[in-house]
Amino acid sequence: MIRTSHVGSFPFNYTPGLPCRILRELREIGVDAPPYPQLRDFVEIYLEPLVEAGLIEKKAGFYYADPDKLIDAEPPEPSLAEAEEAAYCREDIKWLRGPVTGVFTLASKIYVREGLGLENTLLTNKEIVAGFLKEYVGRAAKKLVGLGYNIVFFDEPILGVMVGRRRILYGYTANEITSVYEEILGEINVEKGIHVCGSISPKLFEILAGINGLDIVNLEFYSSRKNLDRIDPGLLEKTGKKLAPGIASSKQPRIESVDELLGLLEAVAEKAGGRVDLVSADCGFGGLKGMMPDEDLHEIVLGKLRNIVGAVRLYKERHGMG
Amino acid sequence: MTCDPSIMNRIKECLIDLDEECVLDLVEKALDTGCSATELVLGPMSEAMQEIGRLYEEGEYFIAELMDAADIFKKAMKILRPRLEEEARSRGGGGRVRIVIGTVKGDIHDIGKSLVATMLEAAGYEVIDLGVDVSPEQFVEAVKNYKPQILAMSALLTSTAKHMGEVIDLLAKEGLRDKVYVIVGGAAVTPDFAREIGADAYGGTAIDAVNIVKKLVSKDKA
Repeated sequence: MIRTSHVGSFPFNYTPGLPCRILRELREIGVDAPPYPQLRDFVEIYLEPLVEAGLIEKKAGFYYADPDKLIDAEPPEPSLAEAEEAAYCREDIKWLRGPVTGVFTLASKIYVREGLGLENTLLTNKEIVAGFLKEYVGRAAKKLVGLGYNIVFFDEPILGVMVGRRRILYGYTANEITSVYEEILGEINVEKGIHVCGSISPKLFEILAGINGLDIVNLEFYSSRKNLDRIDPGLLEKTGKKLAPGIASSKQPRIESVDELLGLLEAVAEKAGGRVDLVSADCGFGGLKGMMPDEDLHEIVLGKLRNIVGAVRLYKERHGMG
Repeated sequence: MTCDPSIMNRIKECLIDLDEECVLDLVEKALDTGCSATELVLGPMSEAMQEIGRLYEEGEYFIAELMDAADIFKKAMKILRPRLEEEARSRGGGGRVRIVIGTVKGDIHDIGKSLVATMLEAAGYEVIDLGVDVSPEQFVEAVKNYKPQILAMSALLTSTAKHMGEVIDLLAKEGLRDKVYVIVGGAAVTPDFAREIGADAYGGTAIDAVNIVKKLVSKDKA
């Protein structure tokens, strides 16, 4: 089975009814596993509730935490308004994807002292990462499952920065990264994936493929062709995982042709031994915001996804898949 | 005094190997044996950072390795800086190319910009980092105050990249545009965009930035 999907964000401001309109449009163009459309920045979605709960504070656009306050704190219930709205209008959509910002990425946005740089964020506090933040993200995932989302993806762009070929920053071991996720994944019984954008190292591929309980690894290939060299089909097979490839640009406001997308899909699928599913664009489309008028962007993002659907359809025909 | 070549080589090897303890120990040792800080920065440390940049471009090293190297470099610079300044004073002042760098207004992304700043410093340039969320007025004020040869701007969001054009327009309005080269970079920036706004150059990576500055500076000297 090869399905189509989307990572999550769209380049529009939230207005009431828009999540449902976008979900309906994704269904109409044939996206198999659409996400709830993310229309707000993930920092706002996940960190503002922590501010409201008095657990972190916001100063001049940055979020700060006193680690001592978070050590034994109970994370609040996450507020996922767009996810709730979309869940109520899913109609007959069989697979509904819920993106959740990941533990390490959230940690990278909360500062513990003045001065920019990841070394000044909660990322360097393993106790809070593996404690409070893991719990918070776990609650968000469970909430999505409770709303009927049957695919949950953890978005972790910061892992692409943290994990190099030889180094994992801030003293983390591979085991510490995998165990954070294995604990979260063990508590939800739906399809589960991790999405990392950008170019990834062989070590990161190995870490992601090695996470027990994870079903899908979502990587970008359109803007990061070198990721093709990271795919280890043997490791995917050994760990029972599939690759969800990003095959269209999430940075360029143009509609790729079906042929172009099919060519990249074929290359990825061949490398992955056919173990591909949930084909999408590289990343969410939030980065396109402001590039052109919303009506034009609307046409473009739907056009990209429509052609991804077309490319996957042709791939399935070519390979005798239903 | 000439630095001991074997120590210089070891410093370079250790930095490429991301061995912080080795680098810092040998930098101290080199200074104690009379090696000049300038020679250390422009020699093995700069060469090591160039090699690390090459390893990154070839896909051997990734951002984590670049950040680790930048961190080691900064710690070494903390040891070397007082000596560098003393050496510059006894040489009779500047001569170093000065670069002002910052992330544009509304954008708080720091990683790429800081990596560029470190690579430029490793290449021997004087770098004044204005930080993030820098308004057009602040960029122009910095150009007036510091009189850099190069102004480097970074933007990760398409919604903030437009401020780069505003900076260039404001430089022109203040009669400063022909006094400074402007290079732009970041995920939101493309070569076409750089051309449209009238920038002098576009840099896709931290390594690009160093090469571009070298070219621009040698144009001036020619």
